[in-house]
Amino acid sequence: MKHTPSRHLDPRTSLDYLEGLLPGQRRREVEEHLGGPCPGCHDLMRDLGLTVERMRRDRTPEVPAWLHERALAVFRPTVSEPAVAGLMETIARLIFDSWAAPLPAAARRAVGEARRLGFELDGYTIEIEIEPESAGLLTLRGRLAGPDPMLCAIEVTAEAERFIVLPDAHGAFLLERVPAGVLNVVVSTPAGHFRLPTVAP
Amino acid sequence: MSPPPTPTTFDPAEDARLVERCLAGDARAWDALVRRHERLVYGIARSYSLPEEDLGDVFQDVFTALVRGLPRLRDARALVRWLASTTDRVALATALRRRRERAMSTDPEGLEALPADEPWIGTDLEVHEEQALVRLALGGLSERCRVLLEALYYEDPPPSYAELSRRLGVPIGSLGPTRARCFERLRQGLAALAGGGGIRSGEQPTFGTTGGTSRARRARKEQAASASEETEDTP
Repeated sequence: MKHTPSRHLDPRTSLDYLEGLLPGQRRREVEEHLGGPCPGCHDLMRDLGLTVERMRRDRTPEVPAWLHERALAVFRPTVSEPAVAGLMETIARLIFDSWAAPLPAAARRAVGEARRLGFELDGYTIEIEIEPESAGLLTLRGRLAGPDPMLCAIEVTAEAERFIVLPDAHGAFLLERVPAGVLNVVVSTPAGHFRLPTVAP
Repeated sequence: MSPPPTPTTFDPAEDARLVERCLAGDARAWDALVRRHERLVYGIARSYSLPEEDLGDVFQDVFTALVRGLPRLRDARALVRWLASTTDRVALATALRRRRERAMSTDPEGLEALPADEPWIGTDLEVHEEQALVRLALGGLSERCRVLLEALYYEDPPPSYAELSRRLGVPIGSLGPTRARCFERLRQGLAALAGGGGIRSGEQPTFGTTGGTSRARRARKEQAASASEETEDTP
């Protein structure tokens, strides 16, 4: 059978066919054309049919407002005033570094190779344990002590990668697969943003 | 004859821009990102027939995990896959926990009371992912196109052309050609999404997985359900 270009299917005809809107004669012509070797029209019809089916089968209702609010509530802006954020940051004070002041033997056995650091922020203290993983990666775990740790966020930048972790209700946090390198840490609390002194490897 | 709908170019980089703004602390960007993807999470979570309270917890857990994963999830397609997979795991774990609690509360011997032929729970993730991508592409169309296609393909039953003509204030004869043009733009948007790169080049997400066939997923669910063990891979 000869298929002339004029009989190729266009999107409108294809949609009409899929929705049963074509009159009998035209419908037969379409089927005749699809019965022949025309990969372009086959692809068009399959593609349109799949998309229409995905839409028709999608009966998920609107998300209720209370669920949307639950999703919104987990986001805590780390920088509320981007233009002046740098000025608002306060440098946290280092109060402990296990590399500078070696831990007692018992504590060393407990933490292994990990380096432990402690910082004092305004009304908060943060302890961080930095442990090498493998292949140039680190694990950071620690605890942020102070009021409402769940309202805080800890942002770690290493090797141009940025990670954000939200402490749990007890202030505990864990970050894995952080590139081993210079660590820049900013702790955002309701009282303000605190930049920890840079932690060099 | 009404003028053709205003062309709107679908922007596959919209999610990347929103993620950047979220990382800079922009709560409005987070709202927009949630609106773009919450229906996918809702659709999958609902398929587990969870009570409302659990549905809320699943929602919260999934979006908390997304906040943590933002630096690594910037592409629409990767986001959709990750959200689908994460929601599925969290909802499955919740459903299994509920099932065990029910069994334990009625029988001190607990898990032995679980029937072996309890109906399969869960959903077909690929269908949800594809539907989410269609919705994303739809969101990139002009309002007129979006309203027309939503009415024709999402309303059940779809309105008649006469009703649509009244609703949109256009002649009935223009609906067919307009629908075809809008559908073409939708397909272009879907093609742009399909061309997305996925997770940032050379990287893997720090949590979860981003894919797997529906058969593999179903097998995993069946295995989990038959063992009645709670999965441990929640974010």
